[in-house]
Amino acid sequence: MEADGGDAAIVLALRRGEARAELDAWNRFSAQVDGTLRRLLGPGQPNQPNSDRDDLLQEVFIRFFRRVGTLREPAAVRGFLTGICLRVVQGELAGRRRRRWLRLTPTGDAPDVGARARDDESREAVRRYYGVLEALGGQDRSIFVARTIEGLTLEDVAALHGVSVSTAQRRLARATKRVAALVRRDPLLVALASAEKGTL
Amino acid sequence: MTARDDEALIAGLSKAARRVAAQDAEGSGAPGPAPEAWHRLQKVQKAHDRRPRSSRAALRWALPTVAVAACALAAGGWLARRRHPLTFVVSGGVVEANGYVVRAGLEPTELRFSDGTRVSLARGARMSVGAPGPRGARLRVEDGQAHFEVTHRPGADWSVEAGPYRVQVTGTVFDVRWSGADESAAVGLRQGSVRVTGPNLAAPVVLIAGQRLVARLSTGQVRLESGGLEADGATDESARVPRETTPAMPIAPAPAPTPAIVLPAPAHAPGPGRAAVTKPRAPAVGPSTWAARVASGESAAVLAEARAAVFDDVIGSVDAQALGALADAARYSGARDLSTRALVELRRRFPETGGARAAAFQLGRMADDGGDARAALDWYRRYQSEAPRGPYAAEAVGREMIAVERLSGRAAAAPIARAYLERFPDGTYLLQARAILGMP
Repeated sequence: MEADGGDAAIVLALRRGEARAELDAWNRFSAQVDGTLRRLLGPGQPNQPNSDRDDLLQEVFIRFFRRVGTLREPAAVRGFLTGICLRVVQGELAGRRRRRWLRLTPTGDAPDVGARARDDESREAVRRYYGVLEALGGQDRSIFVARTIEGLTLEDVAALHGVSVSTAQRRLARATKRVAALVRRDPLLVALASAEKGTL
Repeated sequence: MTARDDEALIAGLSKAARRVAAQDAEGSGAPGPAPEAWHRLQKVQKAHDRRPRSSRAALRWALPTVAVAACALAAGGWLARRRHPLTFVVSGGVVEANGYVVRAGLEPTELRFSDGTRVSLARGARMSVGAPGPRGARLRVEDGQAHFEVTHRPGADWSVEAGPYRVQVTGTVFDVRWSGADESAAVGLRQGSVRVTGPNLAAPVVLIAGQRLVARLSTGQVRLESGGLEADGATDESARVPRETTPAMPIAPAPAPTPAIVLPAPAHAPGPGRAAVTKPRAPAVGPSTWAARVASGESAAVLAEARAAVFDDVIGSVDAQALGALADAARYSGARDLSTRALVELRRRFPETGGARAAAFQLGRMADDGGDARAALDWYRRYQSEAPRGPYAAEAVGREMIAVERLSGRAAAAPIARAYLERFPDGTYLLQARAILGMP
């Protein structure tokens, strides 16, 4: 995460209610937020519209604009945004679980299983990996993804989830063990992990 | 299996997840979300602002207020579109510090606006985006060619400037080219209609699909050709106005399926009946033929003729018209030093003529193009003092402002920017003036 005086200046402009501040914030941070959401959510199903992520992007910025006054250190705005992303995604996934219980896709349409065949193997494996992560509870998944995929430090992960570092570490270790066990049941995931390991 | 094995397994999969996310982001064409997302955010934000804070209260009043909410949402969206200027992203090009977008290499360069409008730059092209508003923007082709696909929306307000020519657009597909070197503009229309205004056009010219307007400022020739536009052949998909070899802009283009329509030309240019398409080549040589021959695209031949003799003797003996034509011929041929010498001689020998005054501006522009901002500034100021209401007055002030900013900084350029906005509120340097003054 990079931060500089420009980040802080935009936060201060937002707090002052300057006319162009929201647009400036969008231009400066939207690419980062978009990337974070992609990593937290994983690749969507082939028949899943991009508008899902766009909706979350909007939600992140709406929350950001409302809560920017609570940010204590303006230069830390990027971490603040990541925290919002984590909470927004957590809420989205909880909603998806509820919809899945009703056997509907996120859009409310019936699932299109045939579309999967059109996607490439590696992408399908990553999609399955995100599926495995669903086995974790809402906050455990968030902690796990923030640390392993988003690459945040353990201190940041703990702070963003409102837990102590030792708690975050304990829950991360537990999640890692569980996810690894589930991954080993899927040859496609094991193969992908081995292939990626070779390029680590 | 140890914890280390688990971590290694997870690390590999996490890496793959990051890679796929990055590929998806790259595959979307430009970094970050699509620019349209900004407008959607504004719309959603308005709706959120109107949402009652208590969900119970919301439920209680939901049905009676649903129609009102729908209207508010629609009005909110309309207001959002109305209030917020369009945004745009640039892919594949270079955005210079002064705001110009340049296509530097082979990679396609595209500007994508939040209303769906797209602009592609041809190789070497340079353009600026001025005063983006909620319904459009003022675009300026500084040099080279660009292809425009303007999204048709009610009340769309787009314009494209090419030198002193202005193309008013409501939603269409077209190409624009401007060459500062030979002061020529071309507008080729593929779909829809546009309105072109500018020098040597007695009234706005409305182009329809398949037409092309070609204008050469120095000679006053303006031609409207019918017939379909040909895609530029070889390598550049964004260069869709047919490109000639030398000079860059067509004086006598390839035969069109139907005869060219020649628009009225000003008094100093060849008469309509003798204009470019049907005009036979002037058989004679000598300074008296130079103006007509330069107008016919024989710049290289005219320059060669002058250089065949002693150039200084030539510029010391020919009349003002021939001297001006020779300066143009040299400039169009890329011989800046010879053009400068001819213009300086024009000013020395015929100081009270309009040509001499215009030469001051031309000298400034050539100095500018050559990177000598200080000399350019000198010439622009001289032109303004000699011809405060001359045809290049607005451009001279705008260029003076830019040169002062470059040499002495924004604070020094601010008074000129203020004066520019006051004198030319609709001028082509509007964006730069507002930027200098820190205006949104």
